[in-house]
Amino acid sequence: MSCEVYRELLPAYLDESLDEVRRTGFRSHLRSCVGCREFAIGEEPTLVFSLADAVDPSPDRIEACVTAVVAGIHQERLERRLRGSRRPWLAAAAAVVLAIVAASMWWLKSDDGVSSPTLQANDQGVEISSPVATEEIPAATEPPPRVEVEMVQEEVRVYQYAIGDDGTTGAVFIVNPAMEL
Amino acid sequence: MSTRESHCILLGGARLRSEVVMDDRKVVRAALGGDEEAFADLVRRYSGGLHRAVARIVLDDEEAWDVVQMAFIKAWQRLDRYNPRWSFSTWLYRIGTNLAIDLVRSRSSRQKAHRAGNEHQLRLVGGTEETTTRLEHGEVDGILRDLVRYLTPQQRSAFIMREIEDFETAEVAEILGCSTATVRNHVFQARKTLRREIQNRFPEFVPEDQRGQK
Ligand SMILES: [Zn+2]
Repeated sequence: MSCEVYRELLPAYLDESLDEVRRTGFRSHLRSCVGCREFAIGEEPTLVFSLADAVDPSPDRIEACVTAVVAGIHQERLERRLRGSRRPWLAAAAAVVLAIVAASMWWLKSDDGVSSPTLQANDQGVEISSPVATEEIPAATEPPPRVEVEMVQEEVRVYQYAIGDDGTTGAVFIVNPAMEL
Repeated sequence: MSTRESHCILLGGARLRSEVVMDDRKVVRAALGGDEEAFADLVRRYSGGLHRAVARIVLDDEEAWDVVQMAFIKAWQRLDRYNPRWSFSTWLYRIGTNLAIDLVRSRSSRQKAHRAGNEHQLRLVGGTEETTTRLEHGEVDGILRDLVRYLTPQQRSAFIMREIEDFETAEVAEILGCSTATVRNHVFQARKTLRREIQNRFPEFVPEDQRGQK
């Protein structure tokens, strides 16, 4: 099509009555033809924005977005699984049991002169605290541990209980949901 | 380059848009089956274009990335509700635009719009070399950035999707969840406001005999 024909399309373009195919043709001509663009801007100043176009972001920025989205998906999946369990009372009961276990172990070990159990978080997002020394539980005879989970704000707490030869052992894992699962 | 053209180029040159849409549907099916890598490919394919559009609505480059990431995560969560009648990109832009509009509204209720505008950092190129005779590329984007703040979030979104990103009216209607007549009305109103502001503030873009007209 000639420039003359494109210029005749301008009123129809502005009142949104051009079909999409001719509209696309009109817009790409406007981008490439300086004469028609200046004519069109003279008629309708907002057509100056037909020149606006941004660079695509860097591949690094795109990959950073991919990473953030995948981490978000992992977090969402974890939250959904936890919501799916629908047994919040179990987590609460587990927390109470754990507190009793930890307190009694602490009390016993304090008597023995062993240092009290510690509960610390680290930057990696995984934290394991064991109120008792692990060598007291022979792995081969250990019954399968009971595991409970609960969400506390952005934190996922996993309680693991095992019955050792000498009594009850409890462990708490605090999991950062953004971590690779 | 329009969003649509850039998608085609990204996927290997002269592919038709319908092929891209078919390919998207295949990838969506894989993602629905839990294939995260397939979904990551959709992020790679559309995050750049979505970011460009969202940044023009929220006027902040970094906040636009937050919106884009949130849009993809929401899309993943609701993937089973995706209607293949629309292209994946239309559906994604709908989620992203709604988040962007919410952000602009919450921000304007906090009276912070002016601050965010100053932090906008979109980089800019125009079309081909011969299009650079009179207007500097950055200049056009700078004017757009200065003036879209006079538009309502709906008008902003409609104008940007239609006039900058080249979506069809029916697609913009789907993205904004309104009728095509409403989209046309948003574009008309946006154009009217932008024209008035260009005449007031950038009279160099208006022919001498028209300056001062409203
Ligand atoms: Zn021409």
